[in-house]
Amino acid sequence: MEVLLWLENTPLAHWVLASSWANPVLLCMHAIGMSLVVGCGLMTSLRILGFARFMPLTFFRELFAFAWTGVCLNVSSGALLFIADAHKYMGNWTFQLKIALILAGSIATWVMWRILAAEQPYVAEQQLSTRARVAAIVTAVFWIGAIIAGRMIAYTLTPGLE
Amino acid sequence: MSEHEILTWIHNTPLGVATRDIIWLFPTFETLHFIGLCILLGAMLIVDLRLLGRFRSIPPAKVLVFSHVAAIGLAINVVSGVGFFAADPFNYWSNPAFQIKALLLVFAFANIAWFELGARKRILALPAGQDTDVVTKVTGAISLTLWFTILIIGRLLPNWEGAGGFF
Repeated sequence: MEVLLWLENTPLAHWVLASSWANPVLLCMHAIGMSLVVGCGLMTSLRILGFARFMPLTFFRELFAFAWTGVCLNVSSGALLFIADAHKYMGNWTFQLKIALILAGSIATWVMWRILAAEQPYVAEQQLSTRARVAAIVTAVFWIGAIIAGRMIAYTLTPGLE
Repeated sequence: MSEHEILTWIHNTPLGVATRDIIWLFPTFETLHFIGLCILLGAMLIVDLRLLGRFRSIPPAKVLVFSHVAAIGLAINVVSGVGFFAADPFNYWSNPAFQIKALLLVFAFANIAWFELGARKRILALPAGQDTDVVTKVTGAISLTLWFTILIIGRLLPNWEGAGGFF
C-alpha cells in the first residue's frame, strides 16, 4: 500500500526509528495512557455492576478528563509507533485484532454512557438497568481483550524494529 | 548465603523453571501485569483524588473501599512480577531500572504503611463535604506520583537490561 510507504518515509517516522529515546518514551506514554483509559473504564464498569453504590455516576463522569488524557496519549504515541513500521504492523493479525478491539471498546463505552444518560439523575445508591450492566461487562471485556492483543504484538511481529 | 547463591536458588525454584520452560507463561504474566496495573492505578486514582480533596460530597471512609480494588491489582502484579524475576533473576538484579523500581516500591509500601497506621484514622473521621488537610493531600499526591513513576520505570526495564546496576 502506497499510503503505508509514504508514512514510513515521513521525517517523523525516520525520527522515531533513528532516535534512541523515541521508542522508550513512546512506549511509556502508551502505558500511562492505557492505565488511564482502561483504569477509569474498569472502575466505571465496577460501579455500574453494583460495587461502591454510594458513588453517584457524576463522579465517574469527572474521570472523563483523565480517560480523555489517556486517549490523547495513546492515539499520538500509537500513531508514531505505527508510522515507523507501518507495513509490519498493518500485516500483523494481532495488531489488526488490537485495533478492532479498541474500536469496539470505544463504541461500547459510548453506547454504555448513552444508556446511562437515560437513567439520570445520577444519585448515590442508584441501581442501574440490566442493559447498563451488560454494556459495562462488554466494555470491560473489550478493553482487557485489547491489552491481551497488544501484548501479543510483541511476540508475533517479525523482528526488525525491536 | 552469597548474593550469587541466593539468585541461583531463585533461578532454580519451580516458578523460575516454569516461567522459562512453559512458552506461554511469561507472556501471560506480562499481560496480567498490564491488566493488574490498570486495576491498581484506576482504583488509586479515585482514592488519591479524594485524598486530594475531590469528590468532597462522598465521605472519605467510603471511598477507601477502592483501596481493596487497588490491593487486588497490586496482588496480580506482585505474583506476575515475582514470576518475571524468578525467570531471570541475574538480569533483573543488575538492571538499574529494576533497582530504581524496587526502591520506589519500598517507598510505595512505606506510604501504604504510614497511611494504614496513622493517616487512615484521621481520614476516616473526616465528614463528607469537607476538604482534606495538607498532610492528607501530600499523602495522596505522593501515592499518585509514586505509582505512575513505578509504571514508567517498569516500562523502561527492557531498555536498561544489561546496563549494569548501581551496586
